[in-house]
Amino acid sequence: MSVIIVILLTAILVLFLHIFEGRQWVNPLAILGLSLSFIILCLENNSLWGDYSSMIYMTQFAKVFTGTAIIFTILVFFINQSRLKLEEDTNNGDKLGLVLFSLCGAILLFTFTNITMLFLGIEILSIPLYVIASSSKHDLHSNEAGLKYFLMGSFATSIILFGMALIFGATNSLDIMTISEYFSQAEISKMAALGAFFVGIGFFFKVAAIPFHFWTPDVYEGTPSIWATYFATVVKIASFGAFFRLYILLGNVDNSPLYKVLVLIIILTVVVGTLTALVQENAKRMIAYSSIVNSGFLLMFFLNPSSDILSYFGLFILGYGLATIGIFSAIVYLESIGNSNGFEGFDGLGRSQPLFSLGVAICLLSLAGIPLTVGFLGKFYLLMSLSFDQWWMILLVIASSIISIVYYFRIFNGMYFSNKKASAIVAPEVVSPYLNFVVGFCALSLIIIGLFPDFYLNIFQ
Amino acid sequence: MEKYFYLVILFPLIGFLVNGLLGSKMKGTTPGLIGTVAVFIPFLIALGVFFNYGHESQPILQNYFPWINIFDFQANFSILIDPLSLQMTLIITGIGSLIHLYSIGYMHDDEGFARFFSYLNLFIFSMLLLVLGSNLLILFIGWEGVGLCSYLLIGFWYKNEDYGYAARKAFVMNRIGDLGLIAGIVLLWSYFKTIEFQAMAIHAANVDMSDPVIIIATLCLFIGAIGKSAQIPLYTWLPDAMAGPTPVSALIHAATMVTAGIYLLVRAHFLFDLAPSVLNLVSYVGIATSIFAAIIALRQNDIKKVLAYSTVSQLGLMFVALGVGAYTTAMFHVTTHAFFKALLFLGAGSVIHALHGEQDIRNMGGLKNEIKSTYWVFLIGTLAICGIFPLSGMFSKDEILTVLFEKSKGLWALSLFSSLLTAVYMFRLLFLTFFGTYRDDEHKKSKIHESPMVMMAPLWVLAILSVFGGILNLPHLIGGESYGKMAHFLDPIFSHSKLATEHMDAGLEIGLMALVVGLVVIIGFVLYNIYVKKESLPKPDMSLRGVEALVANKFGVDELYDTVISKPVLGISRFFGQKVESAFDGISGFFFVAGFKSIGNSLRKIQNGNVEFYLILMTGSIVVLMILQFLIKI
Repeated sequence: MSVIIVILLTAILVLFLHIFEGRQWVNPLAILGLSLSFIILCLENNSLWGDYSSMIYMTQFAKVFTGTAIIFTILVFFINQSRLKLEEDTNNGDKLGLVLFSLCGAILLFTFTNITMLFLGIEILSIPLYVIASSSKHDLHSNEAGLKYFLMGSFATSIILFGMALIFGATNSLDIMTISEYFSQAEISKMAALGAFFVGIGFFFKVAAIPFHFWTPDVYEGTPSIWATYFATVVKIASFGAFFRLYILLGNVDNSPLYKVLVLIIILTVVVGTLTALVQENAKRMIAYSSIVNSGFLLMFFLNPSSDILSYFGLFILGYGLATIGIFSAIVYLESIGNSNGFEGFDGLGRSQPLFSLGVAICLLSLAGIPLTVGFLGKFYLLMSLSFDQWWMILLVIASSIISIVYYFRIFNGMYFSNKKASAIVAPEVVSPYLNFVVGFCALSLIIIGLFPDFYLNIFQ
Repeated sequence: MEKYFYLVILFPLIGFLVNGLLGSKMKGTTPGLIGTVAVFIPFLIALGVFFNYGHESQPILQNYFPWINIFDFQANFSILIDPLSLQMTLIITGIGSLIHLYSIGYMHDDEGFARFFSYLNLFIFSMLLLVLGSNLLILFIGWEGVGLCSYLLIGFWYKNEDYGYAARKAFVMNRIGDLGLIAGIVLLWSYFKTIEFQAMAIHAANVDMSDPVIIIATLCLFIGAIGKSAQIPLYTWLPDAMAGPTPVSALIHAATMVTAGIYLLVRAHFLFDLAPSVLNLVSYVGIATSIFAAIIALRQNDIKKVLAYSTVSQLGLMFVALGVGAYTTAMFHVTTHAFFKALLFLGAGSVIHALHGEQDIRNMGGLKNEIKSTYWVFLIGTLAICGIFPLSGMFSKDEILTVLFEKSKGLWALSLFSSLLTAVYMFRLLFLTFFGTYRDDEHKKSKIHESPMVMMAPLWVLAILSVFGGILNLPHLIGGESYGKMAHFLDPIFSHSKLATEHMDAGLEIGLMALVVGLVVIIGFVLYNIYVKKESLPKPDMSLRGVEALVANKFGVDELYDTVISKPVLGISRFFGQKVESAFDGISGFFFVAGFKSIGNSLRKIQNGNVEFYLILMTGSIVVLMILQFLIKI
């Protein structure tokens, strides 16, 4: 609990500091607060969470996911720091405050043991995001993104709420243990099944699975890149963390009310996502579709849940998140020197910024699933978790991974094999040390954990 | 002391990183000193462990961290300290330090000085992993690592295109062997469900003799050994590998890396003991290589090439010993060979250094008066390799011959022949290089200079080792009660004791020894007569005829491989590259790329940015999914 309290206090302090002429300290303070909360998270005993009337509880799975979300937020704030050097932002405190609040929502999503908390978590996570999406006030695209996100997000939330109401109606309880006991019966009522179905649909929207993904490309593209990084990583982790826990309770039963939907949506997500990503001309939109395809992969873990799968699921999402942050920091850098978001913006980056590009390249290799990286291991464990009856899923993963190399390597190609002269395309501006740190951190973690995954996987035990 | 053993591996790695990352900024010989210290400290640690390691000591397994743990496959990053790995570690770090020190002098004005030492350190690191790894996977990392370093160092002067080709050849030849090793590892894992040496040894005790899986697996491991230790048919890379700087030839292509194959066979002896047919094959391949390479060495005129073929030939002898199950004898020859072959290569390096890069012995002669010190150490090396009493080579080679005499007279006769050929080409090399008169022009003669102290010191240390190395494993006849020290030290690693329980009849043993030494001495005098007294010279390559030309041309094996393997493969590859691929490109380009893109483009049109449209589509999807889930029964 102290984790949430520390983050909340940090958020409030950040807001106040922003008012009282301490703008330059806002970002460092936020990072400091998050680091403190991470340390507390590591030290705090899980049993301390037992006193909240079974509303929330910290499991080991929740702990790893909370830690990952906090680290990702810190990395996003580091990217943000690089921007503050270049431009005056009078609203920085507001944005950081909102992000911190939404992070609290994410933690509720990992720890809920009562579906009221689940709903509160979703709302606390989402509402600040709508504001952040439109935080670039004078940019029409940003405004559009915020509005779209809000409209479609509330649509999804209402569907989830509808589903929850049906579940409550059927089980007469909000406590997930009671609900899961009910769902593990041989025969469940139509109402409960319909409730689980609607909650599932709402989460398919939240994790951007096709055909509920429409908000993703538009929102990622319109939102300022720094916050899009947060959307693509922390929000993704939060939604998946909650969905996975919920699916194990509601969907992982005989005669599951979600199984057929899940299978169909996985196929749609991977196939359509991959093919659409192939024809994107804009790096941010490409990443948006890549995040959709990865959602499809992550949903595949739902097919055969077991205690081992939890850690493999965590490893996959960690690899995805780190790599995405790394690529987004490259996008942020290119925007800061006035390059377009198109793939041509990356041309010659390998020559003008060799070390930085190396980091970005490692992130791309990890996303494409090349060995020695976490991305490869994630896909490897995914394939191992599928059974032989699901051979067509295995084929799907392999085919999609092969095709994905085409669009990931378009960036790679531009960075290293572009014929244009480096100086002609990218002004040899220095990459901010903060961005270098973020990319270096992501790339090194991807390789180190890729080589020694046991260190990470063992935390789940 | 064992507690700090991880430093043995860590120091060379640190040396590699420091020299590799910061070396170019350092001045003078600093990178060389860092590189040398990074190998010398591990030597001291290993020495400390060695003296603590009594005959009753158990092998020490140090597990650093779990490395790969996937379902039932488990590999730890762990090392095994036992007599075998300890002995190899001492050779690698001991001779490694000397060669590092020597390189400071040899490479002093090379622009890639720091790069050279970083590669050397990386090599030592990989080689240590190879011999210390407690399972096949760690061994394999080291195996690939030394292959990579060998590649980097052969092609060290990468601006010369031929050197680049030589490096590539070594790499490709090694890959063929590596494939065998990988197949062997996979096979062994699927059979034993473990790749730890100790666990495999325990399992192997319950396996039948000549189990087919074991036969195939040992065959695969042997293919790996053939590649790394340059045996027929994969030996052709080693002579070409002489393109690298001479210290590299001494360290990698004489003393350490090429003995990895022998190490592998000794390490996996519990498997080879179960496959007598493979062991027979090992000795046949060994003896064939030994004689074949020795014959080629007779007609080589490049000082380093002679030594390279000599190495191939000596490695062949070691395999013969392995083949008859005399593992400790082979390890003894590995050790003494490391001493005198490193000495000979470094001596050759000193000659080349003195002559400013001249390597053709036809342009040398009379050097014993110009570079006395080098002459003496080279002479010691030559006498040692030829097996003159009481130098180290005599003891190890004599042990091999004695063992063979007991097991198989045929192999004994052939090995004896090979040893005599050794004497022929080595004395020829010695006389042509150091005796007679200088054959190049006088202008060059005035520039000949002795190598600096930093190069001569390691040479003298190696010379002393070459002279007295025999003490390590004296035969019973001479050593009396303290005979066979190395054999006793290594014996605990074997499941069945390999110590010779019966000793050969003393008279017969003396007779054999005297026969070998006597023949070698006679050969020495005959060659002295030919090359020094009569001053006859190797004929120019053009005037050679028949068999001589064939030998000088290395039996045309390179050309044979080129015609039989390289050209057809390249032809097929060209056919696929130019004809098949373009055809496929046309078809797949039409069907797949264009197809996928047009599907992608039509899918993209759904993303039209209109929220109402999105919401309608999503609601429609929910309805469809509901029908699918609840109304349709599949």
